[in-house]
Amino acid sequence: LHLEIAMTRIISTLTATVLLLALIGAPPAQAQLARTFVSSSGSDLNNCDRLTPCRTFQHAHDQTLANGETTVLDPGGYGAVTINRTISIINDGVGEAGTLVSGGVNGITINGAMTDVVNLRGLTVKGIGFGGGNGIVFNSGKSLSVENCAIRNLTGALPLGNGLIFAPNGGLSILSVTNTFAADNAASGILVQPVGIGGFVNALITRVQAHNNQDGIAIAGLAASGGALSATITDSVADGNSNTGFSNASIGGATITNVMLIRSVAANNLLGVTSVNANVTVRVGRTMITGNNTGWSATGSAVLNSFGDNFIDGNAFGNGAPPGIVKK
Amino acid sequence: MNKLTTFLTCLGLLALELCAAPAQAQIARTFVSAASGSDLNNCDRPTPCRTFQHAHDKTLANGEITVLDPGGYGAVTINRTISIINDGVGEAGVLVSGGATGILITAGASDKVSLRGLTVKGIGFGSGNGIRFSTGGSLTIENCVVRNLIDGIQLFGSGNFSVSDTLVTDNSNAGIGIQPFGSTSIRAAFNRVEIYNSGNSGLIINGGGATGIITATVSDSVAAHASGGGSVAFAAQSVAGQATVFFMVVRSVAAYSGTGMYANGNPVSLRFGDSTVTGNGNTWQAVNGAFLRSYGDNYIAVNGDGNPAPIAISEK
Repeated sequence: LHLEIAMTRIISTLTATVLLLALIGAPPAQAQLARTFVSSSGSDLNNCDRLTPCRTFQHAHDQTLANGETTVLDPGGYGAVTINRTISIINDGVGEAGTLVSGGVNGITINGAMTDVVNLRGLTVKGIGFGGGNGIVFNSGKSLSVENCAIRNLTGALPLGNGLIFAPNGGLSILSVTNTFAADNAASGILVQPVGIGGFVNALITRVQAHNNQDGIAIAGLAASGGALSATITDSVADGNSNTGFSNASIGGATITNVMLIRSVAANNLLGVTSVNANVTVRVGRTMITGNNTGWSATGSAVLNSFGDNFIDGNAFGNGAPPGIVKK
Repeated sequence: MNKLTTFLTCLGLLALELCAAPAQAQIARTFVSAASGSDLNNCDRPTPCRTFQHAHDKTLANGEITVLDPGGYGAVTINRTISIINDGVGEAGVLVSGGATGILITAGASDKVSLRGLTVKGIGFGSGNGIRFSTGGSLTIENCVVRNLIDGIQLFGSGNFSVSDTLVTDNSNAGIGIQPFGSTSIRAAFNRVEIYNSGNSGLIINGGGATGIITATVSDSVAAHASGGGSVAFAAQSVAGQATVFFMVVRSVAAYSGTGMYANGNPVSLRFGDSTVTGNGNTWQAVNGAFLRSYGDNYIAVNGDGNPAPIAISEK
């Protein structure tokens, strides 16, 4: 008899598992699912399946199997979330899927394992004052991709006030940011600043707009980090930032930092494009640099090279040509 | 004390957006719905409002208005830091008539206004203007459509402006006009903006009524089919002693207009590169001492004036 019950349970579980793959299984209450759903009319007492969606990103995340997805069903605010597994949070145009940030906390925090891959798509993270916070903070994991997102108005004082911080803690880490808007943040719109020792970071930033921040897009090696940091920025705009548009630095020259800046715009910032300290090389092509106080600068043994085809005029303190390198 | 505790608890829960605010209190995120909203509501998720204006009035500074479903949400005057966001639920529209303005920004000097995914359209009956920035700190416009008005977008006050992924068409005067008054500081970036069928100007900067500096950049954008006899695709003008204008256009198109690139006045500079200038009566005009230069890599052909090359400056 006991065996029979056990067998029934196993069959039951197997059936549910098979059905899960077809996404039509009615899993037992509170089991983790491959696809979870959030709705602004959902409840966190639910198990986040299609019929009984959850209310918050955090609860949906907790109910999602590693490698799974959270799908947004309708417009609304879904709260802050800390991510600790391979997961995608996807809003493909059902309306705003928002996270409001206050009280010094982060909107979306990624604390993944070294193999975890995280995707964020179609999300809006906004600071509402009341102590501010950071928008998206990547502390650990293998990679993060951010697509079609908007990150705004994070107004806290440092170390808060950043739109997106990519700060992996070692190993090889990958960042992709596309079609994303970072505006009105008190510190950086996007800050790539690995904190691990001897890590390697590859960052690809394309079709990103950074407006009215202190620093638009900042690539920064920390003194204690070492390792290597490589970033490619294309078809992006950094405009109206109160300090730098595209900032590239290696504190103490410890991190070998290479940046390609192509087909982009650095306009109306205090400093347009900067390269700071030894072991930093910034290569700029087909980019408009105008309306800044200082168009470009390379300081402290850093290198800034031009492919000879940039539009550099109309900056207050001069419009000299950077040292050239050859297109091939 | 209970009220205070409730208020503090609500503040804590604001970040989670789970707080059921007391009736008619301002909240951080408000909602509008054409299907189920009413301006008798307090604009929270279960009881959304019907109009942008009522939702705006119910939204805390730094907050957001989220559009729930397609519909018309009426004209709105914005006086605080706020975002109005439609991320693809369908059209979130504002119809304009009677000489009114669709979206009017009269905010404080440090206020930041964001508009995303909105459609502003004139319906005749006296027409009107689409989006007007009178006062504020900054304005970002993304994924918007502004059609069939007198001026599509009017940037009249000092501030930082960003317009991207936006379509501006069929406006009888200017698609986009930057025309400040008094002492001004304007910094504007236009990226992936398309301006079609303007009666007079596609994008025009006029510093003649102000002092100070106006800097504007255009990238990956189009101004075409400006139809009037003296029409221009991209224009910058001022007069001696008035505002200085720096205008740069790259990777863009100026086509099928009276004049492609137009600069007027000696505090005006217009530089353009990697751009297509075609099908215009005049390729370019620089008058009254204006400084107009080409980076020597533009695609200039099939203009009525025989396609003269502007004075070239070097890429660097």
